[in-house]
Amino acid sequence: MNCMEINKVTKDFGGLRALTNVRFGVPEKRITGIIGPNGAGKTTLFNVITGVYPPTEGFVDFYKERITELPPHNIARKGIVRTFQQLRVFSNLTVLENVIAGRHIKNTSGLWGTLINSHSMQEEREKSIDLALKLLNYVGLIKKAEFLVKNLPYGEQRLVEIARALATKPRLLLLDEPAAGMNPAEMARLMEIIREVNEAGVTVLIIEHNMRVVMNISELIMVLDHGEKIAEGFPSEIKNHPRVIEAYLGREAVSVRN
Amino acid sequence: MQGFTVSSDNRKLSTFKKLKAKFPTLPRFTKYVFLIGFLILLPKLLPTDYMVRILVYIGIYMILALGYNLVITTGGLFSLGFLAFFGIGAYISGLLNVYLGLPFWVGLPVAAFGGVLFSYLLGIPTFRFRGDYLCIVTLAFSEIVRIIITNWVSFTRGPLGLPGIKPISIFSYIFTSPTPFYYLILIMDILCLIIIFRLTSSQLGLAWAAIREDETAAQALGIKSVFNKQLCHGVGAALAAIAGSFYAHFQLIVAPNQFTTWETFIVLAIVLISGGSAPAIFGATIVIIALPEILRFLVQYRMVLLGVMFIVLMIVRPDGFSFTRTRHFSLTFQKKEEVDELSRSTTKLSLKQIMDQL
Repeated sequence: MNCMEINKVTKDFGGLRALTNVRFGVPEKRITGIIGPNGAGKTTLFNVITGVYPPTEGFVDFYKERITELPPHNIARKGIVRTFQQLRVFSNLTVLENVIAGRHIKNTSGLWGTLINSHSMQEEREKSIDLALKLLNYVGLIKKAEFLVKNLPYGEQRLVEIARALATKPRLLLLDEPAAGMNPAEMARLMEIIREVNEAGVTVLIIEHNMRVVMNISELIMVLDHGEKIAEGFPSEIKNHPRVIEAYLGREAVSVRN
Repeated sequence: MQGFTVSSDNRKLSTFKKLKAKFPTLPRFTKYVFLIGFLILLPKLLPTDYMVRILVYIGIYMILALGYNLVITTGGLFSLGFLAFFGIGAYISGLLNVYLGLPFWVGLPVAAFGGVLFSYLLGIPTFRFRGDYLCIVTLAFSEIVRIIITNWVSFTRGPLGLPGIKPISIFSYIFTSPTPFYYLILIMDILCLIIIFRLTSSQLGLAWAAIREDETAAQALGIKSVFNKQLCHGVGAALAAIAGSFYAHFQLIVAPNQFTTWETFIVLAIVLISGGSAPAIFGATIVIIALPEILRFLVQYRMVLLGVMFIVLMIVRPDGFSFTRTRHFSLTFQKKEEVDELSRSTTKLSLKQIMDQL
């Protein structure tokens, strides 16, 4: 069953058409990959899904609910959480604070509860700290919980971003080039984490340039080029798909293969 | 009998030990007790009423600075019109007193409400946009408020100011000397510090910091940016209005020239010099308010000296004087030990187990 339906999504930026009629179903509780050359519109598609801007045409449905016109914070509350290609962590906050920030949706204490330090507020606070620590322990950053994120190496900052996203208890996790800038060891750990996230019941949609990563962990792959979907299928099919090879390496490469 | 007494002593001892383990900062509290004691005795120690008056002004500016600090440092909202809410609070309280005879204790909550209301109205067009836009719009807002107050002569007596505000009184005891004002503002300052502390060390304050750090990422986590900006700015505005209400009933006269952009820059200077933490704000307020008074003998050169101080500060310590960054969530000693245990334990929870608990 598809948890998300991307239905004929088109996105124009003035005269530039970034996405054309993209039609795609995201199977639930699986890992799906989106690949394509630079500028293909992959991040644009993520932005449309998460409500950063609305599509010019088309709809996005999540578990049969139309989410197209919703603002980003409402979409996050529906269970769709993303990470960013250029890494958006809260640099001047600690690692622990970053992950606790992910717990925001789950907290019900408002201004009043905070001011009078009500019991429910104290309990939620304890719970948030505990769960954040457990998540940090899982990704292996617990010893650095009180470090400022800006003082961490890049690979660990990426892990913080992922731990923060997990703290929201997402139903669908969108990862935008999570492996970018990682060394092989970090990449292996990342793949392990993504698999375990999926095993925990989270649907994963991942944009990735690193073929080793995306071919290995995805069960289904969609290929975008110049804003259009040019292929969809299992990794083994995509690997040898002529249009995909053409998009990445050019027409000569296809003819050479043939 | 003997045995019974001994065992009850043991129980008391273990409670103290438990307390010490849970609140290892208990010894630190004694430092605050001494500080509070000193502050309570202070008016008696000062020779003139004039000096106590300075203390009251310090107390008023403390609330202003704490509110402004919340908006700028925690919320990241660089509002340049903050003092408008001080003026709004002062005028609401003053007008209610002069026209309707309502005392400070009625004027205070109404002023706070007025501050929040104007903050909300200001926020509707401004918080939807980001960045430097906020600066200019809030500056314009404070000028508009000042101009309205100045020109609505029939209501506010305009530039002549509004005299005849009755001082604060508790039942039949009227505050005549600065000393009772001092004690009241001391209590208000402590309450203000508690409020600020609770806010900044909560999930809500963290959300405000998250919006300041990266609004897009915060929204992607479900944090509503306009709503939270309104909330943060509203609390700050309420504090400013409360300070204004007190000011009106202390000064006994309010005039529009007391709430110009010059005053905004004074409070902004306090916030920037302090670098954001509450103790530093305390120090910075004292420096900026009291120092010109202490240096009065330098006559007009005291302002030059202050200016030179600022320049030196910006070169030497541009991030302000705070020695500790404001932490929203920091781990207690007890928690740190739990963390060590957790990281050393061999039984690791699977991610599924962790996420089920979320």
